[in-house]
Amino acid sequence: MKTITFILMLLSCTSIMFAQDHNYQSKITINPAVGAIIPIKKLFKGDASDALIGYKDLNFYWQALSGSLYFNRRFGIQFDAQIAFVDKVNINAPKFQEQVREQFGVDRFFVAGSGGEVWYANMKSVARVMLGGVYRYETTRWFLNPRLSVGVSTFDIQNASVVLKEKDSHEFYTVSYKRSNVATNSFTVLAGISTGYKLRPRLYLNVDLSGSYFRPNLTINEDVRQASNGEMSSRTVDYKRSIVSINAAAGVIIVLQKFKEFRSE
Amino acid sequence: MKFRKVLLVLAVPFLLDVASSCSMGCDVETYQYVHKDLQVANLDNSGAKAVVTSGEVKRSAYGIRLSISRDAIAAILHEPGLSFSTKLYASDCIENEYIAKDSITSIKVVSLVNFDEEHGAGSDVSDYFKVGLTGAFTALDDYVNMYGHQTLNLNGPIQAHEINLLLMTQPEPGTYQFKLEVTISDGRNFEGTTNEIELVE
Repeated sequence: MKTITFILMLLSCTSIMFAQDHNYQSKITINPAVGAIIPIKKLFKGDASDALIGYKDLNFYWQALSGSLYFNRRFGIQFDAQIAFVDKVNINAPKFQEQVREQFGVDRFFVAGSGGEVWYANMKSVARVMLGGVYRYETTRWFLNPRLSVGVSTFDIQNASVVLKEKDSHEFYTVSYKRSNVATNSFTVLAGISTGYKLRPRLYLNVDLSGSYFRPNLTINEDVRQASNGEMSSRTVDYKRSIVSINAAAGVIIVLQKFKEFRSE
Repeated sequence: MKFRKVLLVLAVPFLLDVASSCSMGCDVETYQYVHKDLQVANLDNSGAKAVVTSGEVKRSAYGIRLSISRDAIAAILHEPGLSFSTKLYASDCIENEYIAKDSITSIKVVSLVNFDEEHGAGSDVSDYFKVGLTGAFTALDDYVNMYGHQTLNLNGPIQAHEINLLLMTQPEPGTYQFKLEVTISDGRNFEGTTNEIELVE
């Protein structure tokens, strides 16, 4: 109860600062935020090769570089670059090796080691870069900014290989995963709405809700080579399903520049 | 001022020496070695790794471990360079180099019992065995050509040359015994015989 009273008092105090109408004054803003991507349709399909894609279905991101430029009272453009944090296969990758073993049968195989592929250990990647139009509606203390953006979702895919040894046998199988296409940028559409409370003339609290859609075109080739006779079998794992997710973020909007007529304020 | 310049000129060789000690100084002890003798054991390769066994083994997972011991016989001395400072070594710099004086020229596997219809007791069954490396198999002759004469870089004393010979053709279930013959380039021959082993289905 005390907390609620304190928040109400804080809001009342800040509203005094807005005795004058500050609506539609900002021209350039930056919008740092942190958020979560909540999947409705997922990219991963439970295959061992999932681990080689630098993407997470449920993920958190940092809206590191985001800003808006308004041309007039109502319309502007907004740029967003989000960095998502992903765990990549590292050079030891025991978890990935065990996933491959599970896929081929734990009753039949042991992990004998990695096949000598170079495995990277990047810990983060730019997940999404968006640019779009934004409309704004403001009251003295509140704002509501719907927007429509297009851009790219991008992530890395790694090559890897694992050597499996067959039980009760001398046989080895080298399982290699190779990406067939280097381009991992997918066209993305995002519709969202930002809303929040104006704490100060140049500082707003911001909550952002959006829905995004993209359709990746990723293919990973799985080759299995039998050591004793050199026989090879191949399989293609496609990641081409449409991905829909809800993004929820919270942050602040900082007004960097106002329109000329309001700059003296 | 002049005294400082003289001091600086005199210090240059010492500083260079210290720098080279820190960055490049990696003295390697070099030895010559010879192959000494042969130990053999039955192997069970049914698990993740091949292990020495005395019990019965699945015929699809049988192998023989050759252990050819090696002896360092002489250290090759290097001329010490002129240095003012003690060499500073990183931990991964402590390494001995062992150069083979002789080499393995052949490995032969002989069955002491009837192996199959075509190979009676005393037959050469070397072609039925391959050397198992992770993810690959190598014929005995190819292995000898590749690894019969090795220069080793080790952090400790020289170790035996261990080779896992894997039986790639399954015989009928039964009791088997093999003799291994290893020929060295200086004319010596090593022989070893496995214990009798029960190969089961």
